[in-house]
Amino acid sequence: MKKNMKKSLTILISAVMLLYTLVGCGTGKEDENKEPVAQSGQQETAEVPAEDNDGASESTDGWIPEKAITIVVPYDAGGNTDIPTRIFAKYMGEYSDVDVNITNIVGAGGRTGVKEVMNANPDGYMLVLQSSGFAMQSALGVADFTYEDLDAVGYFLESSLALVVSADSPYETLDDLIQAARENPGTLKMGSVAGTLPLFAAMYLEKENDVTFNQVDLAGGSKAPELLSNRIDTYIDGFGAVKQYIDSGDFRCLAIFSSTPVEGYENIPTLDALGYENFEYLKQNFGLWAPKGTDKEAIAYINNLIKQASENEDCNSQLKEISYNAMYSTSEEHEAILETIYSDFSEAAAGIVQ
Amino acid sequence: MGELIFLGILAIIGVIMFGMSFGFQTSLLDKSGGPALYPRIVIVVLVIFLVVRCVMIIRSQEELKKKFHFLEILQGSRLIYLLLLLGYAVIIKPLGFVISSVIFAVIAVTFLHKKQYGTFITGKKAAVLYPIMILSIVALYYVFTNYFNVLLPGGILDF
Amino acid sequence: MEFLEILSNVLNPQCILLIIAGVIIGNVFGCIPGLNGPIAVALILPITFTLEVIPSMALIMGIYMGSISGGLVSAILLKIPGTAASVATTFDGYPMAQNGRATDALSYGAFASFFGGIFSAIVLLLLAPILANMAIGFGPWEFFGTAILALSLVCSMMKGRRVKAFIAVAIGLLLKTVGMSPVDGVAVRYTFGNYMLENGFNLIVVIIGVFALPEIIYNVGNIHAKEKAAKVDKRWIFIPKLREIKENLGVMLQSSVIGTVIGILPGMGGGAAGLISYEQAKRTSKHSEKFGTGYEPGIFSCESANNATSGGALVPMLALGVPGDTTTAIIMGAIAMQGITPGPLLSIQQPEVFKTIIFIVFVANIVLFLFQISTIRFMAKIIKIPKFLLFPIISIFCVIGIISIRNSMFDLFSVFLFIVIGYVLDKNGYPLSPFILANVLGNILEENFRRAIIYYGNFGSCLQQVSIGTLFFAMAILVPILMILLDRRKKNKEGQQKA
Repeated sequence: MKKNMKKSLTILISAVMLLYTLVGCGTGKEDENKEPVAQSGQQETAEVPAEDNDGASESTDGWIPEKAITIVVPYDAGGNTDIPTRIFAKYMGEYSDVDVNITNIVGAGGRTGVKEVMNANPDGYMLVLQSSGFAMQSALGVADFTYEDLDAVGYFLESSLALVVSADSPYETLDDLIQAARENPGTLKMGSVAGTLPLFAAMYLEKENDVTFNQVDLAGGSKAPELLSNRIDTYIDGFGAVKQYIDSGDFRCLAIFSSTPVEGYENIPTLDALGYENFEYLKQNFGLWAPKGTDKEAIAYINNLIKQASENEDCNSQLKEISYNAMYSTSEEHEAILETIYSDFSEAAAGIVQ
Repeated sequence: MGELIFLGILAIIGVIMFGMSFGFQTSLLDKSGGPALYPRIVIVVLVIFLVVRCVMIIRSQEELKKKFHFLEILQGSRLIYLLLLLGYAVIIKPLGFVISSVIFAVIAVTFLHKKQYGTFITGKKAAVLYPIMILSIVALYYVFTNYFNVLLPGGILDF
Repeated sequence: MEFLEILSNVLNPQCILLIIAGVIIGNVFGCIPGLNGPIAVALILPITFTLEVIPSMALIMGIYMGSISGGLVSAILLKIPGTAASVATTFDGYPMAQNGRATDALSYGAFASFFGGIFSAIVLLLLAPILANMAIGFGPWEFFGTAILALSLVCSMMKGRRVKAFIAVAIGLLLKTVGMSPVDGVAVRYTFGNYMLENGFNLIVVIIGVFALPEIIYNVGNIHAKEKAAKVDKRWIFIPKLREIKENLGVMLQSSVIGTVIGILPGMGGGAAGLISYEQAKRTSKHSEKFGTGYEPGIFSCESANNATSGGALVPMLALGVPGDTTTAIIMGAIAMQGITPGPLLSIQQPEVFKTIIFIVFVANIVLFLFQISTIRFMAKIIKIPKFLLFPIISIFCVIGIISIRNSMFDLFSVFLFIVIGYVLDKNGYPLSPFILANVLGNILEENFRRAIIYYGNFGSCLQQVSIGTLFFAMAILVPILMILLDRRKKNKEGQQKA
């Protein structure tokens, strides 16, 4: 019996030690790997102080973080939203003495993550990604919070939606597609995902042209296969998500929901060029939210990190590769834009919910 | 007999859930039959099989006499362990992972040892076992919160 | 030339070390319920940014392979499936360990994992583009057909308790409707205003609640001073005997095919693969009555199937840019961060990257096998821990596992609901595997059912589609009826012969 005990104890200890050694090599690797980043970071910071003096510097005096700042991404790790945010956070971290970490709290169309942060301590260490999805969910009556329940920190990412058809589709232009939808109301299969921006984009096209599509719901991952197999006629998604299929010649892009063309794809018409108006709320822009009542100086500090990262060339080129653009806005601008977006969406959503 | 009660409870829950399905919000855009259609189909299928099962039980003397296993988890040492777990779940948020786990582990280990060997852990064995348990729990907390990014509740000893 | 380049890319100290580290990390995460592959890859994601493409793939693929297989250790020794993928491993692995054959069970599991992993990697290498086209052919109606056929088959195989199995499936499906309604995106069902329920019950909570905790609570009642002394061989390496491998080759091949095919279909995953191939192995076996008592083919089937899903899941990711499961979704993100976009262009524009990744999968499987067979000796000692210590330790790990999902105390309380459900179902002869499979496939079933209706107008016109979906749906209805009729006839015949 006693022997048995002793053995089990050694096992317990060795299990703990295994964990420790594991963690030990894990951290060792992390440190090793961090070096190159730190170095490239230093090169970058050489030019930062000059910009700091532009006026943003006074805001950094008041609040200095003592531990890592966490950005909650309320969507899946590795997804279309998560990756650009991680890239951007990496560069934000380079301008701060502390790390900027990403945590994914997924669920209920992103609301679980937002609620988690809303209830968090408003100390500036806990932020959440803001996407236009929440304005939509609020308009649809699904989300029980609005932009007023959180503090805006600033926008940092922008990207545009794109409408694609299969390369062998008969529709060469957006007009062809609209024409076809007019002739056969409610039969053209338009893929969208419930409660996401592309759905509103499709509704926008319906409203502007007075046509109806057969709105087909797609799972997040299955959009491309559905069009590749021609089970649907067209779908709308972020440009970054469809770019590779345009490059490979599988898809044709008929329009970009933007007023400026995408770099390298100038031949794809923008909605602006096609004569559409008032589609600004359909931009896929991402910002940061802090819990209500967060220290104004902490917000200013983080806003300043966004500003510096958005001006970093490496950051911009890395984001461009996946068809995102870094952007910057002050927290006041962010708040004001959110206000218009929320009202635009509730207008657009009127009549969806029974 | 017990199984019939179990099936009856399932049927009642099914009927209630069927009724609740009339209150779901619907979207005007939704042409998929609505959010209520699928749960209703599942409930109908469930009830059909419940009825089949009931008929099977009633027609067989053997099945009718069979003991239904449920109450024994609410008896004796099983109930105590279940309550221990429940208590653990209740105190973990306010007291934090470390303290609540130590409390749970000490009580559970002492109780189970008594149950298994009929004696309490005493002397040298206790002097080694309990401290190691506490150290392991602290180590677990440290590893999970710092390296696995798991936000275990810090509680009153927020470290 | 090209092959040599790939070899030197992967077979260098840095890559090999990263693969080993990945396999170990993945194994640990796979073992602990609640921690799993996706979490491990997500945690390691920031580290990979600083590595080159190939080393980062080495680390991530190591974790991926390790995490899928890691679940077998806790499944066999403790009856806690670390993930849904190893649920079926508990059915025979745990009884075998209880019979004093823990090391054998672990070595079978390790070998089957190795077999399934290598099998699907070969398939991936040879057939990725062709199979990817097969994945494209699967629309909502086909997915619906596949999911309902899987559920129906698993129930039909439960000889003597089919009605109970269907009841268990229906309970599982109904539980899965709790939360945000898919497709329409506005309805919130059965949440009683609790936003923690909007996402439904997490699969890990269900598995811990249904499998791990009821077993502990039940055994607390039977705890005795005299435990069967578990024998642990003092060997360094455990490999199944050649005879055992030969005997189970058929089972492993069959399960690997099932696993690879299920892996290719996005969203189905290792949980479904393990359960379906287990029931299939049981059905085709000459000794189906031995399943569930610690019978070797039970372990061989589930473990080769769930590891085979890994290669399968990589097929659509690499060839189409569509991830096959949660882990591959994150891996795709990690590759994208390196400036490489998985998808149709990858195998054309950068064939060496494509082939290198597949080669890493091979190496990772070999490393995983060596790691597992050489640690069996230590792992198996877990069961020598006396029960009075073991039960509280498992309980604490279960709690950590539940909290680590999303830091929710609500999940911790909801697990008690599943303890009751799991206990009542299991102890009264309601099979648990249909219940778990319903939880794994519930969302896929509903989403695709409703999408199919949108696509084709109504259910009637879905049925008129000339499609594999229609065939599967018809089989799902007909197979259980046929099986019942066949069994009846057999019974009658036996009855007549007796008379």
